[in-house]
Amino acid sequence: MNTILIEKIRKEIEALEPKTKVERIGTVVKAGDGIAEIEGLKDAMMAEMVVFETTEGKALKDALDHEPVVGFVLNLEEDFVKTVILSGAERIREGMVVRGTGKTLSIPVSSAMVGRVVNALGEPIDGKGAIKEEGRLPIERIAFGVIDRSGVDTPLHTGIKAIDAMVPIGRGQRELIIGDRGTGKTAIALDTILNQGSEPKETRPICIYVAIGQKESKVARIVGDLEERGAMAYTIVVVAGASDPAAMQYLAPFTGATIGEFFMLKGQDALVVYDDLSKHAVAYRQMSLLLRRPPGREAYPGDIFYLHSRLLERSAKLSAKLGGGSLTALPIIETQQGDVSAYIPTNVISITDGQIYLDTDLFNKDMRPAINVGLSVSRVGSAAQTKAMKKVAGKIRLELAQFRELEAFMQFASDLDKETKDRIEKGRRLSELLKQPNGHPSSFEKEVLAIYAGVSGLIDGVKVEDMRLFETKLMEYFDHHAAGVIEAMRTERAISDATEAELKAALASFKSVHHELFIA
Amino acid sequence: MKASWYAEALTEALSGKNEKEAEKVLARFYEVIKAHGHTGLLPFIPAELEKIEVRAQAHREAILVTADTKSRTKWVHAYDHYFTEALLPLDTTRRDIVDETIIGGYQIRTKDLLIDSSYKRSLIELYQNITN
Repeated sequence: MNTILIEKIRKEIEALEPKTKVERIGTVVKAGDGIAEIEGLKDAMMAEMVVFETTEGKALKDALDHEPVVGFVLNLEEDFVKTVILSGAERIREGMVVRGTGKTLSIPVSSAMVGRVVNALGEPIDGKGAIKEEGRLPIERIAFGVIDRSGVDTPLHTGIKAIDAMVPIGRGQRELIIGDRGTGKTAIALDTILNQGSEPKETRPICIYVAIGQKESKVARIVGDLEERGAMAYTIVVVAGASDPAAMQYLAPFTGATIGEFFMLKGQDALVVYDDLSKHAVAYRQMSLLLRRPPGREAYPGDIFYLHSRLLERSAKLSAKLGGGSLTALPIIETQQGDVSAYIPTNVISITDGQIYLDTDLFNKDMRPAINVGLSVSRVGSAAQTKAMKKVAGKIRLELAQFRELEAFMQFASDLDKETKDRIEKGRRLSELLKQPNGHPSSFEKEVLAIYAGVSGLIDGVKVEDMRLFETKLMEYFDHHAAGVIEAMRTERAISDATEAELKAALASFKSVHHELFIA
Repeated sequence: MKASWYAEALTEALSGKNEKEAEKVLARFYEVIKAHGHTGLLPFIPAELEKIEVRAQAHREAILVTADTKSRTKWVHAYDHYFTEALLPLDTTRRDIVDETIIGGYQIRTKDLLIDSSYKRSLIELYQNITN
């Protein structure tokens, strides 16, 4: 055996002096479905961590490597305390001793968590060994107040043209991604994470992807994709899968927020994706019903709104005095048959600073991402849009809205005037321009270039079916022949008069080189 | 309505009452139960009262756990110390238990307090200090 280790053991044994420890305890009266009713535990606190004494009556040899069973207090009643068991519920017995820790539930936090997959208690589950903790933070905390915050003024580029142009997201904002199942909600969140790789390292946000109640296979695929694309270098994945207890699914988003806050308090930017809060609400409903809390609408407990509002309120852009860090939240909600007026969707819509609505009809029409421009909104994002994007994206929303209206009208009209026809054609081209395949986020300057080409009239002569080819050729041309313009937009974050003149000249030159793309 | 709820209410109503007063309480209790149409619960109430009594007795009990009978006398002094220090309630009665797995030392357990001076806990803590 290692001599250092032997020496360490010898010293510890020499110093061993059994000390008396006085602890608050209780006794398990009832247990089942992940809930334990405890008698005793005087002065228990809400959300206090409790440890179930599973080693009682066991020989020392068996007790040494015993994993502790941990729970936390959720109901303080007249004679009993009801706790939620976080893992190993099958080991709980009636009459078992429960020790109060006097501490509210907290998780270890550390910069070393980046690149790792952890569970809702912040413990690594990727088999890459222990994570050295830098401290512990409580899982629940009061959100920062008005004085501690500053306005959202820095964009968080998603790399998705339609979002960055029309529903821009700022650092510190809460933007909901809502839609039916299979409409690309997770894809948008993942593209946003992937796109952060193109940000300069010093301003790149740390991304936290929280998977709540999802299939382990899906999570494994997501982690695999992120690893393959190099995004795990700045990402942490928090998993509470479908097979995990409801308590873990309930805790997972709070764990994500706590990790995000750790980076925010260090002055860094963080992005947290809650995928998804519908399943989170279901897990909380299950726990509340088992805790015998009175059910309300759709059997959800009365505090379901507060559950999500206190979670999402933790997203913030801190004042310069507090380091200027930010925590951006992208919660996801799954709707049933496009019904945004259901209980949980309306709750989360009202809490967040806007929503990206994904439409099943658009998805089926091959419009990807299937963003419904009319129902999507960003309440604070435009303040955080770069000048360059603001300049080019101003018109696109209006043009598309007019196109959607005319498109609906067109179904009944047989004869259309030229102006209407032109507007419809332009709308079609713009819609094509906004299409983007999964996992291919664009850099900010290329988004600006594509949209500039769209709104400046350059695409007017391009066939709708050639739009994808047009965009590819345009990007290639600028990469090889007008890289200076792209670089100027990247550094200036605006389109100065000089850059615009160069841009116009380069576009004219592109048109003459690739005349085959344009109808004569 | 559960029989246990009636039993709890009755226990509370009867506490501190003399025999005469208790008779009155019981008569009134029967009237209430009849008025609510819950006379069917009457056969179950005595069993519930018994449970409450057992629980109350357990609450008044302090368990002294030692690793063997030999060392018990030694640790009874520790028990007496905590008793005089008022860490244990005055109406507490002591029950002695032998549990070899604690190796040595003692544990005093009440409904909501554990005074642990066992060697087992110290050794587990030592093991955790070395391995972590």
